[in-house]
Amino acid sequence: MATDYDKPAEMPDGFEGDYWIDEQIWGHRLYDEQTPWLTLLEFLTVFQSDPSLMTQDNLRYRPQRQLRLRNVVFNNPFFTELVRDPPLTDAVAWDRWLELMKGTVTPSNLPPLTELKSKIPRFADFARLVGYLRRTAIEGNSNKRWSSKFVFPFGRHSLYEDLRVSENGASNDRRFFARNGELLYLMLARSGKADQVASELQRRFFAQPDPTDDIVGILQGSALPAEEKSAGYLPYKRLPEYDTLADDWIFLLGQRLPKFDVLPYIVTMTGLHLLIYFLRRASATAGRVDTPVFVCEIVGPRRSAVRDVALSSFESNQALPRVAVDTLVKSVVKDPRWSEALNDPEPINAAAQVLARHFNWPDDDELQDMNCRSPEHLLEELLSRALGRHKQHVGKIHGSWARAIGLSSRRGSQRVRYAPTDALLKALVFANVQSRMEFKDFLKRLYERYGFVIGEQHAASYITEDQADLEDFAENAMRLEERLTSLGLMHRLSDGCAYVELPFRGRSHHRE
Amino acid sequence: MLPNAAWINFLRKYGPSAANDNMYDETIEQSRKRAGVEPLLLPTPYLNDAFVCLTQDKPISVILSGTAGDGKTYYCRQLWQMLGGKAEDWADDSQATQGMYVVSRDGRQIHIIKDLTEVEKGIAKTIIARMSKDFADPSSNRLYVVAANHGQLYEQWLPVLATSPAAAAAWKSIEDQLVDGEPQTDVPVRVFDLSKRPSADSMKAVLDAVLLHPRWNLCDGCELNQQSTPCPIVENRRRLLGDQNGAVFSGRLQQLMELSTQNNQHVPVRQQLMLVSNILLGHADAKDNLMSCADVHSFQTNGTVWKASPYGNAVGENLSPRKRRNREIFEKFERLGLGHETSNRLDRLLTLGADDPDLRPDYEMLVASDPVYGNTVPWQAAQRAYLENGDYDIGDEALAFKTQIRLQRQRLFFTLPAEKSKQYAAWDLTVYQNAEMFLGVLDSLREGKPAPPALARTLVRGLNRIFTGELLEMHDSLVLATAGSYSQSRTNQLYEAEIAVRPTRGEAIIVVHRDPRGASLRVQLMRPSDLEPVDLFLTCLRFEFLVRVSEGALPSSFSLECYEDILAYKSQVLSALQRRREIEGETVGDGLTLRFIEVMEDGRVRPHAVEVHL
Repeated sequence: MATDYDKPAEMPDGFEGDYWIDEQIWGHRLYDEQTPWLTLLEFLTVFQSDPSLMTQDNLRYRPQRQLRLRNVVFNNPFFTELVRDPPLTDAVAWDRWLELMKGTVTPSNLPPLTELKSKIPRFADFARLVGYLRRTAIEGNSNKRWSSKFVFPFGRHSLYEDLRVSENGASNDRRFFARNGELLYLMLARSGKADQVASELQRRFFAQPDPTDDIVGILQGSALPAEEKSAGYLPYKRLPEYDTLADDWIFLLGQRLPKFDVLPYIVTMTGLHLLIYFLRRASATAGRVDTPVFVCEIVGPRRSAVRDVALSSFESNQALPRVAVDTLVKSVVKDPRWSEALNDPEPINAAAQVLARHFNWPDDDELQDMNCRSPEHLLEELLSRALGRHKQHVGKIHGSWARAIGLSSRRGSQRVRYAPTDALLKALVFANVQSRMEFKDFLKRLYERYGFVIGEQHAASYITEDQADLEDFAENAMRLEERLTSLGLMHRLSDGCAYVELPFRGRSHHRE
Repeated sequence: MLPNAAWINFLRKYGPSAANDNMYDETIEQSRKRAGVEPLLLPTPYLNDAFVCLTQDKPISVILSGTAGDGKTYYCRQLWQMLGGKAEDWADDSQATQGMYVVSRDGRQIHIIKDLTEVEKGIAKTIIARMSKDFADPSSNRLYVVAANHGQLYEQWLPVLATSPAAAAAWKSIEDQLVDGEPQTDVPVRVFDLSKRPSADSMKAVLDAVLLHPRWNLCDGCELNQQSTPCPIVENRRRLLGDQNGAVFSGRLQQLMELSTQNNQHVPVRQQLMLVSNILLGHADAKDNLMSCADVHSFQTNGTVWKASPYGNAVGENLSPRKRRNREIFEKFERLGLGHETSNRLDRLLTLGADDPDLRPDYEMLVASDPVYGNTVPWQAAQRAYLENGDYDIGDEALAFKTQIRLQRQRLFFTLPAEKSKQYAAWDLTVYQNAEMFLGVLDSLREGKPAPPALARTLVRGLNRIFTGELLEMHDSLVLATAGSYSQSRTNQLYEAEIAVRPTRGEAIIVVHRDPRGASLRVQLMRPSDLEPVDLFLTCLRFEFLVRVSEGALPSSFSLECYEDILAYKSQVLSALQRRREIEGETVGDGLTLRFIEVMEDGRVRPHAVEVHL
């Protein structure tokens, strides 16, 4: 990554952060607490507002809020007392419910709830409907606040942004929609296949009406015009990662599956791609030549020597982002203006200016408050603060997302290492195999495309003799074969030749 | 004097101690010659077709594919001789150029490569390139016979693909023939996949080839045959031939092969030969666990003939657990659970039959009438001790009650006659309790008869329980329920549709014949001309799973793999439903309705419609 020292760091207008460090490397911003599912939902709210997927910069959009809907589904604990045996009459039940709902905290300018009485006259049906939406909610078992719970994305009425709601109003505090989805949008827009992704998404989800989504729309009623907001910042105009991401989306959307079945795979693969982006930018910033890889242990009944390698692989990737931040901050000394500042009559002030130019810190007040002895001291102070800040959220991304997508695991061990779950394996197959692919080709593809080291063909550069040998990796690959076979995703034809296949291969005369 | 020792020694070569080496065919051949034995007449179903390919008016090349042990090298040798090659030249490496044996016929040169892996990689590349060119050139007078398994073909062809379009075309034709089994006409090469031939047929042929070999005659004059205890080898042969209990033993073996094929687990001829050899000669105390004539006398005198039980040998009881696991055929058979599975009725017969007056007649007929392997000394002792003490620990695991009863169960499986099958279900001794029904259905379908209508209903009842996750009692229609979100979700509350089992307005669910020997459950949502039906190929495992669930087992308790498998099928049926809706067009009413599933007390399902007014 080349940093052009003649231009100031390109902070977007209205950037309110104190530091411009993690943001330079990864953008503003990627956030650990926003899971891959919520990343997708945030993306969908942006896409809904701007379905062209053409805006690559200065993205602005108007996300829906759907507050009445959410109020009824998630801010409504009254069914337990109202749905009884023998049941109350519909009239009584409705009246009581409306009365109870008045006591909940919501903004006042919502469409009236009394409407619902005429839409769904039978109260028991109403309760059943709401119960259904709760049971299908995304990550429904979380104990998040009600305004951060999300119905399943059945269609355009089911999409809305995360909010913090009080009597005074509602605002996006960026707690769970922390901009991951916005960056995702920008990445797809900047890939070479944005129009294809856009049309596939339209075809799959928005073109056909869904009865549940229509009902969700009725529960919401009329929607208030949404506020416009500006999206985050993505540093790199083009990256091969954007293209691979778009390719996988297009491939998945084209698979023949029941309508929503593809969503969990998209969520998982998106999480994986963002993780890869995250690690590769870290690696490039840290000055590494090799791209990061994931040495994976395929868990089996007996402990494998591959585990140790998978452990070190995880740990080295875990440390990488910190190294990137460290390298970036220290790189300021290569700027000729830094050396000039050291020779300046007021070196500390001069140095502060150079730092501010690069990293948006310090400003004058901060400088005053510090008792800085020298430019070097100032730099150390910056580094320490930068790393401290990095640790809070960005530094947790690798661990958090690797777990969320089923890439890392503690299973059978105290320490975390890369050990893919069935869900991740399934997503990888669906994202790469259309009818069939020879197993060795599949392993090769996983390595070249995502950096997965599983079999002996690619393991050579990553192992030291005392950890494991190629034989262990060959067995590792065999375990993968057994796993995929038990998932119904693999078929062995004869010695040495096995195919990864989709179940039923999308055709109705079956080759089982 | 041991008159037939050479023959027995030769048979030992086929057993489980035989090395899995590439020179298998040659080693056996040399051994046979040394023993002065006539060759075994092994089954070669595609041989004539291959010969015709090479000698017809417009001859084409032949590729013989299959797993190790399917007989590719054997076929090559047969073809060589049929085409006019000399037998003695075959084993002579100097007769081959670059790994190829060449024979001329009708002005053409036929190159036979009996093992592609033996050819050095660089040379192989050249050969394949030239082969592809010859395929593309109608005026070429070179033909080829290549024996290689699928993986080897792929590996060798791969590097050539990029450099030659002819190679790419040839490979496509070959791969399509291998994977889809459909003959191609654009490239003049025909692939014979030897692993496609039904294992049940070749089992019969292997049994005949070994058991009916003329060399057995030499056992007649042997003094080991004139003892009070029979010679176990001769006795085992008698059992396999069907002298006792009709042909139940060999019949069961063929049924097991059939099941293996139905489970997409092909058993190559070499493994079948290993099995037969082990059945005849297996004994835990013999060298390499296989008897030779020299062993027989000591076994007769020290009373361990029972250890040569052919019924136990059939599942590798004579081998160590490690050896069993390393030999495909025994590893497959181990999964049957034969000897470990049982039913109360059968175990009662075995344990109490000797004493209980009600069970006595059956016990006499089914167990006691066989003093060699049924009513053996260790079995009687173990049985008595078990009944008296509840436990029988003599230190020797071979004599332990659990080992002895296991042998008895195995014996019963292979000897229970048809007339007793209603009373004592032999298949209860395996994990495939419904195999009898399954095989019956396959036979029926093969003969062109329709499957019994009750079967579709049973399978549908099983599917309903798995698809919905509820304990439903429904068999007249297939309930399609979804979570509304993903189809693989465990809770399925939305009622999508019911597909009628009996043909109604284009819908139907039937069990159909699947070429050549299988069956599928077919779910038809519209007339086939409008929409293709969605088939579920009935492997033995899937069949067992569905029937068991239909009868009350919990889906997740039998096999997780099966469960996932059936859910994937559900996904396909739902996709077809979606297509049907697209074809028929949605009816738009004046409101929106979601239909929820309501499970009623009698186990039937009713949709409960929730209407929302616009």
